Amino acid sequence: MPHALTVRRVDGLSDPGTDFAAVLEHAFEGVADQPTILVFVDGLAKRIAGLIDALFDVFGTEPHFLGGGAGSLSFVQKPCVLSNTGVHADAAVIGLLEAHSMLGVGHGWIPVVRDMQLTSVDRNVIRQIDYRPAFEVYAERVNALSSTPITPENFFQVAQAFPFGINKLAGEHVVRDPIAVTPDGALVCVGELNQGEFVDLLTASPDQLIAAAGETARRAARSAGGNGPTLFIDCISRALFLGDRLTEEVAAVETLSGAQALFGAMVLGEIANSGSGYLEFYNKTSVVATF
Amino acid sequence: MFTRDDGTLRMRVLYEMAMAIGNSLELDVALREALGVIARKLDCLLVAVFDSDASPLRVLPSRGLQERHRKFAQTCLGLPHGTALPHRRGDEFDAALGTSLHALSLPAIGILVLERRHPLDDITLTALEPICSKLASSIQSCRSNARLIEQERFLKSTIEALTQAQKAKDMFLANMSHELRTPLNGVLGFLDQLQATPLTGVQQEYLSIVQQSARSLLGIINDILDFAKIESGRLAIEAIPVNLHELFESLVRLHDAQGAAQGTSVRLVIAADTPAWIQTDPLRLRQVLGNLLSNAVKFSPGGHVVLQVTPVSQEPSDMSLKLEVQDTGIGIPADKLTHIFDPFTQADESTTRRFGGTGLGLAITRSLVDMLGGSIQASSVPGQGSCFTILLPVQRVEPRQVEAPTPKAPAAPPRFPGRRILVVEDNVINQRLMQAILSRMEIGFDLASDGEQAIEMASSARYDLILMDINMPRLDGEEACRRILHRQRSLGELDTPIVALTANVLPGDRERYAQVGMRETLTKPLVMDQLISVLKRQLG
Repeated sequence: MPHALTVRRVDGLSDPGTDFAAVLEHAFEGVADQPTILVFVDGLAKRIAGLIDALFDVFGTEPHFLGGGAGSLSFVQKPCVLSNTGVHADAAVIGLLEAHSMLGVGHGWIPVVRDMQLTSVDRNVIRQIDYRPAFEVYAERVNALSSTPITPENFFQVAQAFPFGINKLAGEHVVRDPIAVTPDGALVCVGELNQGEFVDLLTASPDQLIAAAGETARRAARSAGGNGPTLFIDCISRALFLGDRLTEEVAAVETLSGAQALFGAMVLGEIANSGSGYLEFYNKTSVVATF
Repeated sequence: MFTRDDGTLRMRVLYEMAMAIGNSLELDVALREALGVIARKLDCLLVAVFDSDASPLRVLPSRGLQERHRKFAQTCLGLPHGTALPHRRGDEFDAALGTSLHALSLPAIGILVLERRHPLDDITLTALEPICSKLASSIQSCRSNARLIEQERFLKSTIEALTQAQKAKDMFLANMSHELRTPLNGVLGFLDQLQATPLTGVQQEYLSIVQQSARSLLGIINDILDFAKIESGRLAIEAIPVNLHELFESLVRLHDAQGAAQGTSVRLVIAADTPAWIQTDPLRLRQVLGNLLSNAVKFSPGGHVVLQVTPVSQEPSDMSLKLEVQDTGIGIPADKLTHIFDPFTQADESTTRRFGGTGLGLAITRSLVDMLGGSIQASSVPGQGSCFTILLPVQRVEPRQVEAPTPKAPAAPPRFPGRRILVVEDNVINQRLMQAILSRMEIGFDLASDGEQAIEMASSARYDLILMDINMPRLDGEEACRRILHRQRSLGELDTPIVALTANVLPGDRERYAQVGMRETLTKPLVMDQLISVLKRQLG
């Protein structure tokens, strides 16, 4: 892309004591503000939310944020963040891009069970829901809706269709994807949750996901008012859920964005903020950016 | 528009926000967490807390504050500064930017400002007021905590400063003790040596006056140092078995002899059932009674002084003695009696001129009585006399076998022919004094001026005894002793007895000298009896 890009790397994305705001201030000292910020993180790091909060704190809502998580579907943390200094684990690369963008964010997941309280949480691991072992409660809810009963053995396959949704006062849920169950019945998610938070159980059909992605692309294109290059950041878990129908989702995005050129990535968690509110780390979500 | 589901959602969101408030007593951490959750849950572009004077306390994002936010805050706070804040809110919609600003009152703190793409409805704004009250309480708690932490820091630094000041005082005390006693050692020592030389009658008279003056000066210096030690808490009581009858009799004998010169008699009246032996600090008890008897004699020329001892209780668990020093002296006016034990106070401003003294004696006496566990009172009738009464709790002990009292220095001091001593002393006068004393005793000796020289000389010759000064340049006595003994032991040689000879007499000094291997400690100014006792013990 024929636009200036200033890139910095942040390490120690799981260190509990790191003051990410101070790290970012130092890393970008003297660098001019830019309208778009690209962020790619190790998707299995423990303090992605800490970095996200720090990005909002330091840069605010003026720039548009766009990016996602890298990683392995083995869900074992390993070097996955590419930079011109090598491939890094537990790190993030942040690029200030001298180009204007318009974003659309959407997922299509709808609530089917309301108000489950996360009564014991350790960063991205849910230990208890409503004061009971997390997997036990999750399985109760899912098994009432799923044709295939969920077990620790088939957890990943069944849970793909039943993510959590974190509530905000207005707007869509922020999706949290449970990817594994621990031997003591805790649920491991992509991205952190907060102690005491209320979440809903979400589900969707492939048609609903494809439609949501298309609508997201249309909103981004309408905001941009043009048909410039379009970046599509899509969650890998949507791809796994859609299977062969992933091509339909990509086609919907291409068509409804009116993109001259469509490019993008499959990611483990999405990062986006179009200036409409707080910067978030999403799961199972489509992000479309038109330049 | 909100539906019933939205009402439940609002409740959940507000609950989550409330849970995120007040989780830390550090203001920055508390505000970062609280504002972060508020910003996320309400999807805010900016959240800021302003103080009542419109200064921003915390802004999220930290670089997001603009002039329009400040103006909005000022308007809502209703300046001028100091205006009392009613429970108010402010709302503003900026059509150009397409954002809404809301201000909510933080009671006793200021306001919370929120900026969003879409305005909040009235119900939500009202529902946020308890959240704001909780946030305000959290901020107040953090500020109180910060004040407490600051106070604790101040107290710690004050304690540190006081500790340093105490150390400096101790150092000064140690130095003064040394600096004052060292020259006095020379004065008194050579006066004693002079007394042993042939003198005319007039010279003897003059010598006697000089000796008396020097001893008086020594007494005053000891008073001042004792007072300073007591004030610093550095004076320790060392309780041992004491023969009470002997102690009282020797004191009365001494002061009766002193009083004879002015026609004052001193006698002892001791109850028959007074315990013979008790556990106490004989040095301090002697000091207390000696001071009272000395005062009584001083202020009763041609009169009578009585030391009366009476047991108050004989119960083993509750034994105490009443010690009364009564005189027929000039007495103390009633208005002075109440302050008679205060330091630097005497009964009459003219007392110092007529009778001398520093005004510290009774203050020291009271402090010592307190340290012995007792109490002291004074009563007096001007023109008729005074009575000082001490009530002293005591513990009876079994009689001890006492060593035969060390005889006073005979006119001819003992001799130690064939013995050789190394005297380590940097002060030239003290060197000369030791030279004079040791020569009379026919003891061979060498002189070293500091610790380094002492080590060299001790390694090239064998001595029967080393008298080691402590405070010396280049290398002090303690280190010199350590090195001499280390060398001898590493060569398989017998230790040379080393005795400390020092003006340093603070608590802990003797123990420290013993730890490095010194067998005994002699204090300056030298007392001949003590020197002779040490020589007899160490030289055989």
